Amino acid sequence: MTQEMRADYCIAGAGPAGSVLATKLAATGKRIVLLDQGPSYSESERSAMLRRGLETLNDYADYNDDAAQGTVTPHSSAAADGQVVDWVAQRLFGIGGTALHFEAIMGRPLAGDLKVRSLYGFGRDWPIGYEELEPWLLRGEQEVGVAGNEDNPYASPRSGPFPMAGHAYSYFDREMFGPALASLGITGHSCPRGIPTEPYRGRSECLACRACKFCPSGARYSADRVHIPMIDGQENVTILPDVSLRRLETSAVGDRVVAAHAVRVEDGSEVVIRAGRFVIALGGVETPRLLLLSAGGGAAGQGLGNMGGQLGRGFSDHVHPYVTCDIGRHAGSRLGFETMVSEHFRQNVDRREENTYWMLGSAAMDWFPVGMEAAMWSTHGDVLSLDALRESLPRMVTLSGMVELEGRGLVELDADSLDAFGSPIAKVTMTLTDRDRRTTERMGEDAARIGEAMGVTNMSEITPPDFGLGYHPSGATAMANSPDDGVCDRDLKVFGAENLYVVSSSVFPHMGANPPTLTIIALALRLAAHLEGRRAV
Amino acid sequence: MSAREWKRREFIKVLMSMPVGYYAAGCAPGSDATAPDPLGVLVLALGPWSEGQRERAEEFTQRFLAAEQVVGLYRPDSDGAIESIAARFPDGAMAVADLDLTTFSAEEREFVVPFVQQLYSFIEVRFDIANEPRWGECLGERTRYTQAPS
Repeated sequence: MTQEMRADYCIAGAGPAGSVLATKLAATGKRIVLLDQGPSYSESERSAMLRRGLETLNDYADYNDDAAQGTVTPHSSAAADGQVVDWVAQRLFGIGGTALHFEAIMGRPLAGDLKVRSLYGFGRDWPIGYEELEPWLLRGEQEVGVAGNEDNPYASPRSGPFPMAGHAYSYFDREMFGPALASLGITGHSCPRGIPTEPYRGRSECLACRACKFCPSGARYSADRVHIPMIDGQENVTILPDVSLRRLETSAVGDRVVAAHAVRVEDGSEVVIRAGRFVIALGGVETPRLLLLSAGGGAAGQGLGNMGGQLGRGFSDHVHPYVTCDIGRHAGSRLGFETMVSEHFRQNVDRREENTYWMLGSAAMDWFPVGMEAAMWSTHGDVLSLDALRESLPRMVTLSGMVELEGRGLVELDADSLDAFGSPIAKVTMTLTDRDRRTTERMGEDAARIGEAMGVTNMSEITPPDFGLGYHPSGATAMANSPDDGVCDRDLKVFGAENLYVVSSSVFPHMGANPPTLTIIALALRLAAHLEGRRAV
Repeated sequence: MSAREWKRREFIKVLMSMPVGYYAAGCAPGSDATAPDPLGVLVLALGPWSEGQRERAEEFTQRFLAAEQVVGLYRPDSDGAIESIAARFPDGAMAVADLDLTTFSAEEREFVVPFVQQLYSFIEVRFDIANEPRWGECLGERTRYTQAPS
């Protein structure tokens, strides 16, 4: 049986973007329908996941492990060949989105990241500048509750302070990583986190549980714990978990979305939502896929916003290489996340030739499976010394990078593979360029220099050698000044569709080395203001 | 109390109501757990434990044996190697100092090296070695991570 609903706004996707947007629009009294393909996870389910992880010795236990069929949409990827590498999803489906399991690093873009074409001759410029985005980044930090210090000499200007002080440096960062960076003329500085250092708007401060994915203390930002409770139960808001949006129906000439057609994951029954405006916030892969699946008449013939053939183009991500080291002395206790990073390699780089990256150091006991290297380094000749292995583990540290890419990937529909409801899944072709590969190599060389300065006794090869991707998909429905360059305009309205908007990392014309979540939230806040008819913060 | 605070407390209450022993699939710590299972013998012998940690080691070993996806990495393909390596150790052996791989057959060697690598990659094993409180346990002393290791 088909259920019909009417609303002022239909928002698809209840990750940070959709949730933040919904709270702001709901405050104006508008009728909101917020839907997500995944479930809403209760606190008892969260604790059960952590308990099961302990029970089964599986610290990789995750939110969608036992998802019902249809909850997780698979994707395909071009096979590794030359410059094309497999793209592996780390996406989550559910109220809270992929940020259900994120590390809450709230890095900002640099001003130059938004003008890479003009300044450095690669990638695509944003249609807005840093000065326009910055106030929304600041507001986003307040929404999330970011802990950070104004000690980053490489950052672009800020118009206000962080909501609270950053996390105190770990023993490792203070005594080993920081001094090693300093000896090379590099500044280590605080890592901004959406993990409070003091109680913040009803949330606890971090209690150092070191299982951030499930955050037993409730400190770490998660949209389902922070923004959804603000609107849950409100008369003008309907939240629909476990409802999969299948396509957008457009008018005959394709200039307007008439309805969103969805199905309930549980039984496949249809839900039709008619709204004044539609906002798609389905993340870096499903957002472009939905616009492709919604090809209709007229201007929407090749997919919504695709009159310039840009839908799906410019897909990007970050590479996450790391090295494991034996630092020769106990690296200290852990908090569960890095407290110091360096953005030195975002500024001190010839960006005409190479990309930029973040450098992070970590006492490697949190989540890196270091047993392989430690066992290898404890084997001498034909003797594996278990005593040496036991002694070495507290000495293991990692240096890791978050590396910017040029953005030459592609998202398209895979007509040969269908999802649980019969629609083509997304096919992601991740193309790495020579400059992408050069940057990853250089990150390995820089890590070796830092390792040497820390006095490491052993260091692994850079891992993974075949590129670790899949955490920060972006770019496939880019903002632009015209349909020839992107899919949506500077206000995130999809070209050619007067009542359709997108907000996710997919709208980034280019993604610098910073994690995307803060920028996504900033864009959601900016979109809310635009839809309310406001311009300024 | 706000809804969010209530949810947080609900989470902690449910989590903390489960004693660690409960995780061991009905095997309470301190029960007879000399791990006659050959794979259990290896966990006990090759793991990070010192003699004073027998109860903790046995509890971990039982959970290891109950974790199907972990055991499935080794069984049944390596049953022969597991049994022959386990036979090298006396009952209840713990804290074995080293393995002279020249005394291992090719099959045994092919099994034991990745097994040790895997064993020392478990977060609990790594935390245990570093005297780190249990994974997921909220710490009262939040600044512990800033202090020099004792």
